[in-house]
Amino acid sequence: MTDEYMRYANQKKNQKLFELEDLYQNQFDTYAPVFQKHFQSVCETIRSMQKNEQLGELSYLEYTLLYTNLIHAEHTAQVRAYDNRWYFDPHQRIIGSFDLSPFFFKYKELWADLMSCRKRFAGAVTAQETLAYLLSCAASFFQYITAAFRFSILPCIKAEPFLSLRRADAFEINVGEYMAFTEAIYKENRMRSSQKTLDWFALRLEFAYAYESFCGLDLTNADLSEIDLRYADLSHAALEGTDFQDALLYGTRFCHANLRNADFRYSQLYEADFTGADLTNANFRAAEGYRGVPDHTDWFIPGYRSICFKNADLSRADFTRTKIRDADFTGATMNGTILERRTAAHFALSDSQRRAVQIIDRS
Amino acid sequence: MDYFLLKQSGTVSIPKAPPEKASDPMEPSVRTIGQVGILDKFDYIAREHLVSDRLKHLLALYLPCQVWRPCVFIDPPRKDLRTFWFLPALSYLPKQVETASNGMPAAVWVEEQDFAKRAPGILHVRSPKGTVYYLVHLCVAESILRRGICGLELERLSSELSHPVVQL
Repeated sequence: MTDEYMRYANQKKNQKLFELEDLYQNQFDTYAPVFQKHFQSVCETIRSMQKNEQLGELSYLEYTLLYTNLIHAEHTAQVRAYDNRWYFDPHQRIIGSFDLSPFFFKYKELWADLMSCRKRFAGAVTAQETLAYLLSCAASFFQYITAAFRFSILPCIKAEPFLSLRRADAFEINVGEYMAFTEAIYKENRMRSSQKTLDWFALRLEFAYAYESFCGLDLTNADLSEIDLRYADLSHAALEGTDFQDALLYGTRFCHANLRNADFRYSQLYEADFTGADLTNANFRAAEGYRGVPDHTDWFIPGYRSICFKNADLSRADFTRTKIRDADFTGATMNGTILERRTAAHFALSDSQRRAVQIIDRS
Repeated sequence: MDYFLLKQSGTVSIPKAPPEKASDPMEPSVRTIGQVGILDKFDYIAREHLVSDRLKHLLALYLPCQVWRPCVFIDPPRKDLRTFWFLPALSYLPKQVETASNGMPAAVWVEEQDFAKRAPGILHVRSPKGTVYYLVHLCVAESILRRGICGLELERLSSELSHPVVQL
């Protein structure tokens, strides 16, 4: 492959990914029902298979991107169900397939473009080399499927038919590649206790806690400073007075958690979800999180979604010196929430919220 | 079960093996070929079950105990060479292989216990006529393509046997 073609291909890939980013950020609500509807139908199928004893207790459910399909221009993700042996489950069942084409059309455009423009390079670039390059790009586009799944299935996991599935004590839903890079978008672990979890956290292991589920645990007044809880689920947890200073909280779910007096100073809160949480007196000084891609010239990950404070209680929470932008405060209670005059414009608040907050000048 | 038949993509003519010393079967097979660059398009050459160097490195991860014999194609005028490797004969035999009317594998079944414990990624099967075929599991097929190794074809076998094996 020539350098010139490689430069052209990389530039096209970058362009198509940014176009997809734009769709993801601005039309997510249009696409979310597609994911939800498919997930519901998969759950229906599993429930019926379990009822007929064709499928046992479920430990892993996976939406898998298959390169063996991609080379035949089949843009589908396979849905597979596994027992606790995961990939070594000899009975791993294909439950269905998810049509990626509505979300992969930017990838298809890239495919068509690179295959056709190759001719301009007068035989210097073979179809095989172009195919290899295109296959190497697929995972980047698929990351948007992962991200969209993560955020769109949340209502489905609180409802039927998902709730009546026979699931193992440790259960997870993954999206990714077969026996390779996958990301957990939802986890359950009914074997965890609060004390054991605190002891485990005290070890401050690298990467161990990310993507894990700690739902409903009592971690009141715990020292979780500098911990990596990226995409972990702490929904309904008791976290009053908990110290999250300098913690990595990208995509962490705190839905309906008790976070009164919690300390989030200097934490990274990109796309964290505080829906319905009690954040009275919480401290967000110098915490950071905005929407979009971290680098606007070269794409390297899907852009972050807004931090969500929907219906949270942010009474007297402190947002001075914060680097939080583009957050969603819909329905949040903001009695006496402390904002700085300099950064108040970064907060999209309703009229009543604006009246309720306390705006101060930086001391 | 998710297995794929390894097939050659396109056609290529390679020189036959020179007479070899019976005493040393692991010696590299060295062959002279004009325009060695034509081999770059191939990651699998079916006639002698040769795999490219990059594919060998991947397959070796699934066959850590195998000894591989190289086959080196040299192009003396251009002072160029390409190394291929003979796919080794594998001792593991799947529980059942169904063949199509042309003698090629159509479906394969690996013993459940074997799958759960050994997860055989590469299978070496022989048709009733004696022709050897290599089958790779989905995880290997995916690994191959994910790494951009595209100089071969992977034909999906049926996941269901027409006469399923009864597990006792």
